[in-house]
Amino acid sequence: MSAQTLPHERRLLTWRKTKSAFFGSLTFSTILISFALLVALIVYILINARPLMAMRAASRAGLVLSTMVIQWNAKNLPYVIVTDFVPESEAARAGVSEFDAIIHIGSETVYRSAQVWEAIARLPQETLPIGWISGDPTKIFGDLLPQMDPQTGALRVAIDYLPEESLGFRAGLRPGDILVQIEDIPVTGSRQAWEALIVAAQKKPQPGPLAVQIERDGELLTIALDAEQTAQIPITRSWASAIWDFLTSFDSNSPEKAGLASAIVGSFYLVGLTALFALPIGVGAAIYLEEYATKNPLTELIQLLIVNLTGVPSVIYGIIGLEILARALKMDRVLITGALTMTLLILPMVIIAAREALRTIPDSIRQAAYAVGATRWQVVRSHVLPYALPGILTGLIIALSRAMGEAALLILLGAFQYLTFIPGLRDYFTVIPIQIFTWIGEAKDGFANIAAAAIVVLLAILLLLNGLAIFLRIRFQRRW
Amino acid sequence: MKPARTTQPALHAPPGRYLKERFIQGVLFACAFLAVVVTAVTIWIFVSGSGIFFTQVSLGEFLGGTRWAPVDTSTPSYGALPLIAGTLIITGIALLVAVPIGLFSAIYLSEFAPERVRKVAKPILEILAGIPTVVYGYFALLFVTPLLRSVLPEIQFWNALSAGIVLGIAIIPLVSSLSEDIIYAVPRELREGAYALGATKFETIRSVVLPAALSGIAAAIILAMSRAIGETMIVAIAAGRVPAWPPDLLKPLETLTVHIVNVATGDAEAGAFIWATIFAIGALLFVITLLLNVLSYWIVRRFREQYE
Repeated sequence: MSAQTLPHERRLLTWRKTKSAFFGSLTFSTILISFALLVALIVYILINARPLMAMRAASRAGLVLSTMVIQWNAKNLPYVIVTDFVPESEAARAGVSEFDAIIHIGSETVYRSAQVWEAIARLPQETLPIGWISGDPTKIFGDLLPQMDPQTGALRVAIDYLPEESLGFRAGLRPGDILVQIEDIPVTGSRQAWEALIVAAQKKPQPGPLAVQIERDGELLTIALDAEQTAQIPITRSWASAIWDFLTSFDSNSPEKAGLASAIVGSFYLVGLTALFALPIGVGAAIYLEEYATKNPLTELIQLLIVNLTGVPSVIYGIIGLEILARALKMDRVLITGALTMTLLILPMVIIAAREALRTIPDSIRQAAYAVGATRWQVVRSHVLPYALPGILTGLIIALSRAMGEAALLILLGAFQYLTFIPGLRDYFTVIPIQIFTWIGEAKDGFANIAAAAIVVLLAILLLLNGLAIFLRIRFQRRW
Repeated sequence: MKPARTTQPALHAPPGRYLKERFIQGVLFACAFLAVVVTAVTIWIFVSGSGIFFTQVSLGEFLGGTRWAPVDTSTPSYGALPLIAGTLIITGIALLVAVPIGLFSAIYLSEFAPERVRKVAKPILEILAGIPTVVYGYFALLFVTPLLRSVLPEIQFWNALSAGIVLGIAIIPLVSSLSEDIIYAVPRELREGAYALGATKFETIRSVVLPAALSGIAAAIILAMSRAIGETMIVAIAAGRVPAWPPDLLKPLETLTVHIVNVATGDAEAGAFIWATIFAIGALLFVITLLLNVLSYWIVRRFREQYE
C-alpha cells in the first residue's frame, strides 16, 4: 500500500482481510466438527462395547442372570435370579443352581443383573465373592402349609415337613413351627416366605444370619437362619475368549450368552452370493455400454436408468424382492432371495464402477489387438478385461461393503429372525446389521452393550473390505 | 506354442465365430438391459399394488388425510399426511445439519486446505458415508438423545430431532464430496481474475467461486435430500414408530420408509390389506426420490459445461 491510503481505507482493508481470515477458520472448524463427530461415534461405540469381556466372563462362570420383581407393599422390589443355568460352570461347582437368587457381591447388594458384570469389570481379584439364596424354598423351609390363625383369622404359614438336611432344620426350625416374620417382614403365604427372605437379605449390608420369628406351641421365638450361602467364584477375564465366545455363540435371551454366529455366517453367505451374481451381470452390462453400445436412444435410456437406480431407496428394492422373488416366484424369504435382491441394489454401483475402470484403458490397447485380427470379444476378454479387473474388483468390494451394512432391504425379506443355528441357502436367515437392530430393540440390560460389540465387529469387517479395496487399487493401479 | 496347422494362413474367420460374437454381444446386452427390466418391473409392481389400495382408499384421502391408522380394525384410516410430514421434518433437520457442515467442509478442502491435507481429509470425511445406518441409529438413540435431554428435558426417548441430526451427520459426505469436486473444478482463471481486481479470498469465494459452482452444489444437496427421504434404519431406531399429527420435533413420529418396515416386521398375514399400503407408500417414495434424482441429474448435465 502506498503512503496515500487514507485511514478509513486502511480500516476497510483490515476489516475485509479479517472477514476473510474468519471465514477460513470457520470452514476449517466445520471440517473439525465432522471429524469430532466421527471420533465421538467410534469412541462411544467402543466404550459401550467394553463390558462385553466382563459379560462373557460372567457367562463362562455360569452367572447368567435375570432381573425379577417382587411385589410387596404396593412396591416393585427388584431381585436377581440365575437363568440359563450352565451345569458344568464354576458357579455350579460352588453349589449355585438354576433360579437361585443372587443377593450380594462382596458387600454390595444386587438389584440388577448388570451388577454382576459391572463387578467383574471393576474388581481386581481373580474370584467373585457372591452370596445367594436357593431358589428352591423347600431346601430352606421344607414344605409349607398355609393355614388360618384360629383367633384372628389372618393367613399364616406353618412348616409341614422339614428334611434334616435343610437349612431351616440346621438353624433350629422344626415341623409345626409357624413362620411369623423374617426380620421385619411379615410372612403371609408360602411363596411370600421365600420372597420375604430375599427382601430381608437384600437389606443386610452383607451375607449373614437373618432373624426369623416363629410361633412354636403358642410362644414367639426368634431363630437366626443363615439362609444365604456364599462362595468365591473363579473368574477368567480374557478378551480373547470373550471375543471368541461372542463370535461363535448363537443369539439368546440373555445378553451375556448371546452371540453373532448365525449373523456372521448369514452376512458372509449373503455378501458372497451377491458378489457371485453382481460381478458377471455388472461387468457384462458395463462391457456392453463401454465397448459395444452405439449411441442411440436405448443406450441413453439404459444409462439414465442405471444412474437413477442408484438413488432408489433400499426399502423399495426390498418391496420388489418381496413381491417378485419371495411371493410371485414362491422362493420364500430365504437367504438366496435376500442375495438376489441385494444384487439388484448394488448392481448399478457395480456397473458404474466397472465402466469407470473400463474407461481408463487406453484405446491404443484395443487398436493393437484389433490390428492382429482379434474380434471384439477377444479384445475385451484378453486385453481390456485383465487390465480393468483391479479397478472393477475395487468397485465391487466397495459396493459389497454397502451390502454388508444394509439392513432395511433385508428386514423386508424377513431376515428379522431369532436364529440358533447356522443358516443354509434355503433357510431363514439373519445378518449382522439386523442382529444389531434387534438387540437395540431389546429392553434388557446389556443388549445395548452387545449391540455395540456387534457394531465393532461389523465396522472391523468393513474396514478389512475397504482395506482390501485400497490394497488392490495401489497394488495393481497402472498409469497409461 | 502349438505348431501351425497349415502353412497357408487362414484368411477367413473360423466357422461359428460370427455366431459366437453375436451370442456374446446378446448376453452382454441382456445384462445392460436388466436396468430397463428392473425399472419396468418396479413401476409395474407399484402400479398394480397401489391399484388394490386405491380401490378402497381415495387419492384425496391418501394425500390429504391427517390420520394414519391402517391397523385400526374398527375405523381404519389412510391419510398419509402424518408420514409425509414426518419424512419432511426429518429430512429438513438433516439438511440443516448436513448442508452448512458439508458445504463449509467442501469450501475448506478445495479453497483453503493444502493439497496434502485435502488428500487425507477427504477420504476421512467419506468414512462417514460408509458407516452402516444401523450404527447411526444406535448413536442417535443412545448418545444424541440423552445429550439433547440435558438441554431439552422434555424430549422423549424416541424423537424426530436426534434422528434428524444424526441422519444429517450421515449425509455430510454426500454434500461435501460432490460439492468439493465441483468447487475444485472451477477454473483457476476465475479466481485469479477476482484477485487481480483486489478481492480478498472470502470475496472471491462468495462472489465468484460459489456462484460458478452453484449448479453442482444444488445437485449435491438434492441428492442428499433424496437419500435422507429414503433413509430407513436411523429413523426406525431413533424416531419411534408412531404416526403423529401434527408432528412434533421432540416426540416420536413415523416416516414413509418406517411404515414399510413396520408392516414387514409386524405379524400381518400375506394377504392382509395392510400389505397394500406399502405399495401406495412405496410408490409415493419411489416417485419423490426419482423426481429428485432426475432433477439433480438434469441440473448437473444442464450446467456442467458452463466453463469448458
